Amino acid sequence: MGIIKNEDAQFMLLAGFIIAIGLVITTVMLNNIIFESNMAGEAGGDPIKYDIMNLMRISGDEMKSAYRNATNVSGVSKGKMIANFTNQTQNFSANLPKIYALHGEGVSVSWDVSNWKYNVSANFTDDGTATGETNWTVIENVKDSKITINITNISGIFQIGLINISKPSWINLTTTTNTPLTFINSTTIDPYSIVFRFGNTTSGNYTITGNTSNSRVFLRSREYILYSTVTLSTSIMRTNITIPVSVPW
Amino acid sequence: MFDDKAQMHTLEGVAAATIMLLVIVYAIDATSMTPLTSSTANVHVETELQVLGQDILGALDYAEPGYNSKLKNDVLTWNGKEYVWNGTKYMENGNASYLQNNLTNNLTNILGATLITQGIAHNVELTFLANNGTTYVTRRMIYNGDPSENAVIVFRKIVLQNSDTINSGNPIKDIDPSTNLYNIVDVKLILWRM
Amino acid sequence: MKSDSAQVTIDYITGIGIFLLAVIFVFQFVYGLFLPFQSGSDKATLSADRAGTVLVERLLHADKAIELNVIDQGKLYYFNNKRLYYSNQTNYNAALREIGLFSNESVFDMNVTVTYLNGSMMRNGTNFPLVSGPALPETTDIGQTKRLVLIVNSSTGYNENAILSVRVW
Repeated sequence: MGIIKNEDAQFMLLAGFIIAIGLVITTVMLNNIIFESNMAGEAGGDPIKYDIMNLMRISGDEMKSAYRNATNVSGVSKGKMIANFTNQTQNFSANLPKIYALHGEGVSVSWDVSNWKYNVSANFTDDGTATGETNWTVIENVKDSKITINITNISGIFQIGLINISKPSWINLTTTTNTPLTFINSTTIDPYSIVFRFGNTTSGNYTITGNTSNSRVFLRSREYILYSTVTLSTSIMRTNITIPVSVPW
Repeated sequence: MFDDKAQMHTLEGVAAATIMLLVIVYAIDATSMTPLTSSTANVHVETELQVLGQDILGALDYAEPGYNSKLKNDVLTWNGKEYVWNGTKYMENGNASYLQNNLTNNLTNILGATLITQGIAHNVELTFLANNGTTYVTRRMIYNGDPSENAVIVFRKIVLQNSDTINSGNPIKDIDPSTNLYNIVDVKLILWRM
Repeated sequence: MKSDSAQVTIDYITGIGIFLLAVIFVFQFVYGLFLPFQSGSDKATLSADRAGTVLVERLLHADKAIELNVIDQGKLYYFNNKRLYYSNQTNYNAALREIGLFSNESVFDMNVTVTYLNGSMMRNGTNFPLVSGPALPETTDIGQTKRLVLIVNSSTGYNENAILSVRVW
């Protein structure tokens, strides 16, 4: 009886197939590793925050510029000033979406001028609200300055400091009478800083102009705190932010 | 007396080896190029370029009360011509024989210290409204060729008012003379690695 | 009829030889396929990116500016001199914890350097170079992020472009 079947070398083929299947499984595992480390790597960037910051910046700047233009004319009633302000900001908010539409983003900007309309002045704190920093440095390294200050509401004491190395001097204000006040100071060799203290109990407006000791002109001024609401929407996100804007600067 | 049954060993050995090698070729094909492979299309390299571009525009757009930002001043003083980097300066395109026709402003100072030294090619384009706000116009300020496919684009929007003094050769015009708004400009910086 | 001559047929050797060569090649290759994923520098690079972002956009950010990469000079000097001061381990660890590089699972070291745009080192008010954190090691993988920042001091009007390099390992 001869050999009926010979199945010796089929094991080689079988081993070849098994190793090949093992390779396929290894490849799939490798793809998973690559996918997972790509997911971690893409987590950097988030480019929408730059667009949001840009939008907040230009709408705040536009509000300040519109306020300055509206209040820069004399002999005009406040209602007319607010109308001029609204006219300019309407024009801005009509043209702004056209530029943002180039990138597939929708924007809308709106304004709240009730503080201006009802004469609610800003506090003398760092950001103008009642909860801001009460003792803060307005400007350092001043060579000469002109401070014009007008208080509408005070409880307690409010101090303006002209602090230089040799002799700090404080101006104390306790009442609303006799304001607006103007202080003109200058120095030749000893630059000073202008500091506000106890600003949270006092409200009004101020304007400080002058030169720093490097002969650079500076300007700090605040009359009201107005609010601007911006909305930015893209295909994947939507945001709605209200920011306080200090006018005129 | 011929015996032709044992040649199957060799054939099967060769067949098994071929199967395994074919699967290896498949594995190489399936896993070669990914977003994290080290090349200029690597996602980390592109993110770095984008952050650098945004940093440049953000650092130029800072302004203190009472002053315009450096980027806004650059847009206001631009004379409308297109400039090309020739190795040492940004020369006017088509008029490079006049050495004084070069672009020197805050933007070129920062670009020279950051992008030029790192060998990153860049274009700067301005897009603004025209015809009373009904159409868009795009003009190039700096042109260094067409970008590659892994280029990164960063934007910054600037608002110009009537009270700003604008260069006479500037193609940006007033879209609404009745209000104080002059125009809204979109500054586009395109960067790519060569 | 069985044959127990015990000599291996030549083509069996050929066949099994080719097969074994292919198997050895396959195992060599599969080992090499996993090598790029054994480096730890991905972790350090991602951590450096995050640490750079937290530092520039939150810890050192100038309050009055809206742009994201404007940092305050006073906060930068304080961070450099006191918080990331390596000789004071408590302060150093507290600073790392706030940035997020010090946790129960992983601990990194961080070095922050500030230079001008042309590469020369920037110095603080008392003429110390603005370098903080331990010295860079020579033998491990370091992740690095460079951010272009604008250092401002809103009371003195100081404005200077600088490059802040954050290195994490």
